[in-house]
Amino acid sequence: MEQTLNKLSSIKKVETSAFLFHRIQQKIDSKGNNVISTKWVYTLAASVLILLSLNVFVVVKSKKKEAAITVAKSMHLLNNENFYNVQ
Amino acid sequence: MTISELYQLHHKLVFNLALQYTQNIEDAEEITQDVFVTIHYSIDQFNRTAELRTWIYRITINKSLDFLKAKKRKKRFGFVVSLFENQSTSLAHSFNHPGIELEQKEAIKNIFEAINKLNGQQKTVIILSKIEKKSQKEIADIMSLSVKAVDSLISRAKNNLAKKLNNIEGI
Repeated sequence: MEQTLNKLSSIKKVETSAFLFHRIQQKIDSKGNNVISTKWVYTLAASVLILLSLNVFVVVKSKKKEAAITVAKSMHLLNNENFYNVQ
Repeated sequence: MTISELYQLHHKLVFNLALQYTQNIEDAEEITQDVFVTIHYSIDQFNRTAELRTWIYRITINKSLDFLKAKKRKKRFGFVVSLFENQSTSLAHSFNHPGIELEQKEAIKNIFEAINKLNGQQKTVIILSKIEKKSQKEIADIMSLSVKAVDSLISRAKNNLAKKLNNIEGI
């Protein structure tokens, strides 16, 4: 086993392409232009959160109203402000 | 230290280490690019108590293992795509290691075939000890392990490698 693995020590170190650093520099430059500041990320996250909570609030409120109307109808109650049941 | 200076000092280390993981020039170049972009953006987070070279080793190892995982995933996805499309997606591993002499190529290719089947940690100890010729202490520093843990990892890796090599013809 050791003899087999010793064959790996004959592997020579090789040189990189002459253009490799240029490509790295390009990658760094292009990444730098695409960076979005954390301020914008937080603003966007806050807006989404507000929008979502508004949606939840509206849905819950409309469901409560619907439930009250259903109860009123099932008990033959008037859901208007006519106190003396005058049609 | 600027990225240009860091590149001049360490590019050979990064490229050759990535090459031992991928055995392919194009893949090793891609990993080298990723490593230096990461170094550029996280040099401020570098813990000055650790050695810069050790830190670069760690980044290169992590990037190489991540690259291999992503390539494996792509290969699997490519197989699914090829079931629906007529064209075959060729993402097969191509052995293209420029550091190996022609007369040793077949034997070393078989060894790498077995090394590639080891898990990340075992693969790393074999590469660092047998190709990079690092001492157990240096490997322990790079892998953030104790010397004892490295020792047992090496013996487990060798045992697994022997089993895998037995299954490969010619060795």
